[in-house]
Amino acid sequence: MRLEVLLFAEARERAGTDRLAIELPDEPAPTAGAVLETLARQPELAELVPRCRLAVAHRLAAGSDPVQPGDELALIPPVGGG
Amino acid sequence: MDDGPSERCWVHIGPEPIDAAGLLARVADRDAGAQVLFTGTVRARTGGRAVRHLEYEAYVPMAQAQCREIAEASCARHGACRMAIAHRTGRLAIGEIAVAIAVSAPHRAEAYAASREAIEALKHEVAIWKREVFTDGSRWVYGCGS
Repeated sequence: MRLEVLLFAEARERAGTDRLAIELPDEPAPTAGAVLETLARQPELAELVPRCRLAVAHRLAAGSDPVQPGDELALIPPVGGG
Repeated sequence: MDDGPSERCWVHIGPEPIDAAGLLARVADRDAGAQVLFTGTVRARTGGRAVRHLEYEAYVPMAQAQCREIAEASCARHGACRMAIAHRTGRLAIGEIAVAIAVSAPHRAEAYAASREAIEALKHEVAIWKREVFTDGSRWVYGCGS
């Protein structure tokens, strides 16, 4: 299953792109945790991903939350608004 | 992207300068006897270093939804009448307003409490990132400060 993850802030800077395509097996059904693990294997993101959360459809996801093709995914580094 | 015609809460995240007085006008309500306006501005120095400017980046649709939820929850929990939240993105100079929260409530206790709760929630949760730019480098800033 091909998924696209939006990258922001430090993640975007480190990866050099604002979106990253990743491949996950169709079985077992992918989860947010699996997406994060895959992102953590990107060398330029390995150090940052453990400090990040994954957003699915504009909501922070728990590791076990399922991910469907077509869901909007985003890597959320520690926030700093306000 | 603005919220639509909302009855109680209004949120805007974008690069335009924030009109704090306008934000206060948005929460006018016949049932409100108190209004509180919070503005967060860019300081000249941080951690002993002189700041040239700040840059804010937002995941706008998510941040918009989060701010709306925060505003609705703060108003409901404290019995406030209306809340308006604005957060600026892009490059901000010293002294410019980065975030503003206006709230109206029947009495000042509710207004202060709702305002405080909303800014704390925003700083802890909302998908917005801040980068400090100095003369000799830059860094992404994590954490909520005080």
